[in-house]
Amino acid sequence: MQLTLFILKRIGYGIVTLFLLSIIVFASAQILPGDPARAILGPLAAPSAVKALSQQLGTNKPVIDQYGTWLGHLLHGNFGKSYQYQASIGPILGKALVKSLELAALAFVIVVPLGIIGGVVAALNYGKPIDRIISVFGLTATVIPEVVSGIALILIFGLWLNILPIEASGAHGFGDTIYHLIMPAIPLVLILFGYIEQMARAGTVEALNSDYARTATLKGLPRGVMIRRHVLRNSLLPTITVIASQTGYLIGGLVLVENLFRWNGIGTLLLNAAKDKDFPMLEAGVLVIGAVYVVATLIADTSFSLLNPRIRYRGVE
Amino acid sequence: MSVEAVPVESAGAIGVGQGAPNLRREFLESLVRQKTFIAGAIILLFWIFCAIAPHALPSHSAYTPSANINQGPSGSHWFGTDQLGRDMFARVIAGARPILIISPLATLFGTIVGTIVGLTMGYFRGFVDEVISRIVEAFLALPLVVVGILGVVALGSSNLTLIVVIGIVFSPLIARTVRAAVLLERDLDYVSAARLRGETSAYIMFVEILPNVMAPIIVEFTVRLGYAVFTLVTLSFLGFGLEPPSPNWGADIYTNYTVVSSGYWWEVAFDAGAIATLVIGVNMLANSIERALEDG
Repeated sequence: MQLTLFILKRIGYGIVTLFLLSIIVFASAQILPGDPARAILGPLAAPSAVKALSQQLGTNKPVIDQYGTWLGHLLHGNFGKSYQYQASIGPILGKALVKSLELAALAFVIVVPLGIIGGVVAALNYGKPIDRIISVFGLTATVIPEVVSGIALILIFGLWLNILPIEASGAHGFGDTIYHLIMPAIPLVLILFGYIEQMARAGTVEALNSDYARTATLKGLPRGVMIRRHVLRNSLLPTITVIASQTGYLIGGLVLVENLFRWNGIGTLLLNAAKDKDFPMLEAGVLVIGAVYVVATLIADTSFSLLNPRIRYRGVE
Repeated sequence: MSVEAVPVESAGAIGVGQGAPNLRREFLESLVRQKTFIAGAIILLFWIFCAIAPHALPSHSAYTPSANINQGPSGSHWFGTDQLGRDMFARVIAGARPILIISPLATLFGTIVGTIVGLTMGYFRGFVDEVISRIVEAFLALPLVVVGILGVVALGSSNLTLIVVIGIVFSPLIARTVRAAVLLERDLDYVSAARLRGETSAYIMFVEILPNVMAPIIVEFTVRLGYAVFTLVTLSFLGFGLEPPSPNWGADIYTNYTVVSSGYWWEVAFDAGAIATLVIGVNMLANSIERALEDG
């Protein structure tokens, strides 16, 4: 019962967040100087044509009305028409989202096991050189901007060793896509590795020092069994939350990485929309990113409470 | 909670005041003992030196194009030259200035706004806290870079925009940390005492509570400074940072990485290296300050 209530509350919060986000996004597109109709038609267009297009776009109506119309359309799944492509936003956005998902999925598939193994190995060797090396590497990798790691990869694997393609676009088929996406995925992996590794390490250290781990050891349970059955189960809980909460970061990273490696995902779409002042596309893209984040956080919170009986029974807050 | 409690509390506060210089010395000693702090400080001081006196180092002009385009590193051009024949060494050195001016200012702005918001949230709790929390959450639903792009698109590209946008993006994160720290303080005796003395909320927040939550704020500032550099470099690379031709690591990488496939690696490698050292240096400082504060 309490869990249902908790999930409903989280969903409510998520909706409020998205609503506020829609206001922020809409407002920031309004601050912009300039007339959208003028921007589309160019500086040489006749004033009457600009006026007619304003009428058609609805940009001459009061701001509140415009927001209402926009929100209404959004709720019906109508994202509007892109200035730049002169086409419906929905399908373009959907296609880009799938592309981004491919890249993000590859990054996750690499980083999750790597981060967890790294963290657990570090914790089991607590205070030893291996622990220091893994942790320092993780911390450093986390703070280096993707531009830097991306450039380093391009130089090493693309230019000098010449074993991986510099541009990701132009991949065909499953295997080829993965081959093209390895290099773009690594900068994301490097940043996420530190977070996941730190979380897994902290959780494992805590579980190793717990009373139940000591009891298990004292009753003569082999160390391997003790770690597998008692330690890992408890230590990996917080890690799951961290993984899901990094989705927001991941999308930010995608903007950079997709641009650097020329991959036509949502990051590239968003960046081009911003550069060309394609506001409907920019607004829709930003909102979709927000929605993805809200859903991911919701899944993280819910799965965390489902997996942890203490929280499941006591209710969360 | 009688009236007599008040003088006792103020006496306690005086005691803390007298102990403060000692604590500060312990904190500094613990800092200096750390190798990470020394290494981080040396890196940061080097870049600050470059930002203040770029001409102290022997180099060509960072702006003047020449006929020697795309030259590899050599005795006369240590880091080679770019597509316009400009000296890369000079550009890398000169690139320190904009980043070392804008990132600290942006971080400071974000820290001030975040601290005020966090103090308000933590102190008043209830409705105010709930409302601000929701707004903070809405902001946090977007990645830094995306908010940055949105802000620059909306406000136009300028140094001031970058400072304001990065600062505003940071403020909710700092507010969250400050709020958590204030929640631990707000029910302590010295706060109740101040309230009983009839001090205003603003006085209690800024004069009584603020000095006691400075430690997390300082840590947050140094950590955010690293992210400010990160964000600024990323935005510059994406074309939403400073405008060319002023030397700028992120933007230089963007303009030059198209010719990397022709083998001109030096046109991006040294910029990337500069970013990496600065970010690592700042983070070393942040880590050692955090550790020193934990010790103290």
